[in-house]
Amino acid sequence: MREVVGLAYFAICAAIAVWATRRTRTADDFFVAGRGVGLVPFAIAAMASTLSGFAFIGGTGLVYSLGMTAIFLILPAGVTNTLGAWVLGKRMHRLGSARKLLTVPDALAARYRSPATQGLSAVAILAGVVGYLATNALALGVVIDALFATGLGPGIWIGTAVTLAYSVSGGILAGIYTDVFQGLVMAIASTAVFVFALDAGGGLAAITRTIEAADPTLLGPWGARGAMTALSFFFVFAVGSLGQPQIAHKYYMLCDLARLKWYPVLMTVAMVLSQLLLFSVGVTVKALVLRGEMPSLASPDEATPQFLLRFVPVVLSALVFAGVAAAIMSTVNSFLSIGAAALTHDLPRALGREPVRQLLIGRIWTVVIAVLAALLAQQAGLLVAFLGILGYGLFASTLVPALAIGLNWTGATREGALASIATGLTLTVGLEWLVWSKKLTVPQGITVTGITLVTSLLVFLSVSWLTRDHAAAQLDPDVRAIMLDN
Amino acid sequence: MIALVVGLLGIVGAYVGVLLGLTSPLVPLGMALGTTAVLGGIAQLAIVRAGRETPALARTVRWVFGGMAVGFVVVLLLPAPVAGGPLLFGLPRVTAILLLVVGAMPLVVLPIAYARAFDAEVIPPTERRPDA
Repeated sequence: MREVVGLAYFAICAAIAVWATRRTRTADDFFVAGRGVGLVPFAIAAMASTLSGFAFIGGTGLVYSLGMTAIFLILPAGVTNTLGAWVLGKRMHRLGSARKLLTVPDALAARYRSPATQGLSAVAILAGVVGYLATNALALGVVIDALFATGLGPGIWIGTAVTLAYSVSGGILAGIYTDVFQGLVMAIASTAVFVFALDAGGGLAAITRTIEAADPTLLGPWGARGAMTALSFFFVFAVGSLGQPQIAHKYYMLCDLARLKWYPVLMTVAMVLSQLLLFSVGVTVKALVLRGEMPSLASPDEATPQFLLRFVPVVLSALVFAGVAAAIMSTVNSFLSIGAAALTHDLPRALGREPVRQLLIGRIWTVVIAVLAALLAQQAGLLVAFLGILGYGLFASTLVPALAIGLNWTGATREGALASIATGLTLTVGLEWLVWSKKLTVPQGITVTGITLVTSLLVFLSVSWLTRDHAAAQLDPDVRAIMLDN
Repeated sequence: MIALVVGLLGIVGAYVGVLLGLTSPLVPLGMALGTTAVLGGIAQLAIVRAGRETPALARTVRWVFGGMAVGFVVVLLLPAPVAGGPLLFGLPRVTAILLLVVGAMPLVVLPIAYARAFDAEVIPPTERRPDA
């Protein structure tokens, strides 16, 4: 049954890709979906590309082992779903329409009149993209192996080939519409499993009583790791969400800015439904293991697969596996698109060359990046784990100051933007490498991304203040009008 | 901008406190208040139109982020839950309060406030051009 549902899922993705490919004729179609995406596909695609397989596998494992501390990874969604539209939506869309922008580094170049800002941010984005893609290619290999018993290596290549097929032919246009299908699969699977999980645990109150008898801190307000770790997660995932390029560049794609009105509401509903599984399966499996109704898990990441095998009808468990594949593939497609755009469009512009034949070259870079990520996923072993933790922190520390604050503060300067991007890039790579190679230990309660994000924000504000005399001259009149709503 | 800078300094203070091994309740308090101040500061920057604050969205920012800050402080000051203690919505009461104030309240209020203020304060109909 799992194989049938899995095949049906991949067949539907392929059909959407064929449809989208026929509509992909220009670089605008390939990188920004022809700027013609409606509200519903826009919101569901944003949700699908935000959530990776982590929401279904790694996240439940963290809830199982850390309790409420892990909830602080998703709790910021209450703020971020609206804050993104509020802080970035209108200005990114208007800037994109006025200047025909394709990428997030394009917006930075326009804001600061600076090719260097475009180039440096493109380098940071590329580094983060490769990291994200390698871990997601590995995760997709695991899911395909679980569905079709292909073995991990072939699973990685099959998953990469399927995602590549629609990413390279239909670009982000195919990505958006497969995201809609994939997002619906994720939301339906997550909601259905939530009902089964609470039922299997005897209701939330019974689950709580079982867990608190063994360890009252797990479901205490801050969970097993305490208040500082929980609050650090909250800071990183609330503020860091404003620097995620796979979301920020989607604002260019909305067909009509007036549609932004209901985007936070729709995005919030989609996000809440898709994250129900994460909490419910995590706490239910913990209670069931404590009661002796399930054997202890070999690893926390076994929480979802073991629960599905024992407590959920086979059709639904197949749907969840498809949901995991969907979550990973939608994220991969978005990152392939922004990675290819950085190489095709941003770096040539930063070097003073006007990009040519962007549709063809974009497709070629998409293939190159995907193959590189699959090779890394298959051969690099522990390096994949290092690359995986880099992505989010790199985007947060390099893009939040210059983009999220810079687009809303006319006092920001090019020097501040460059200094903060350089700080975020070097500090994130350096600190994460030291921690990963065990040459540095970060005390419990602090996250590396927290340190790099707060440092790059302070660098941005202080350098901008020191060079404040340049601010006005670095703003083109049309950009200034967009920023001030004049 | 002041809220943003003060919030960042609060977070730096909290991180320094952890690095120094301080166990004072002021350390997580600095982190909680710093984070809400940074979020509120960024939101406040984004709702200025033509150099002026937009009233409905400004009220929303103050109430939502102020409410979150109060929620964090209250939960940090309350004693940790114990086994067999009171439950609210199936969770320990303090946990439920935190989830309601910091999670559910902004989750519901912010999108609705944004939609309600959209036509008057975000993109008035007069500003809607075919190319924007």
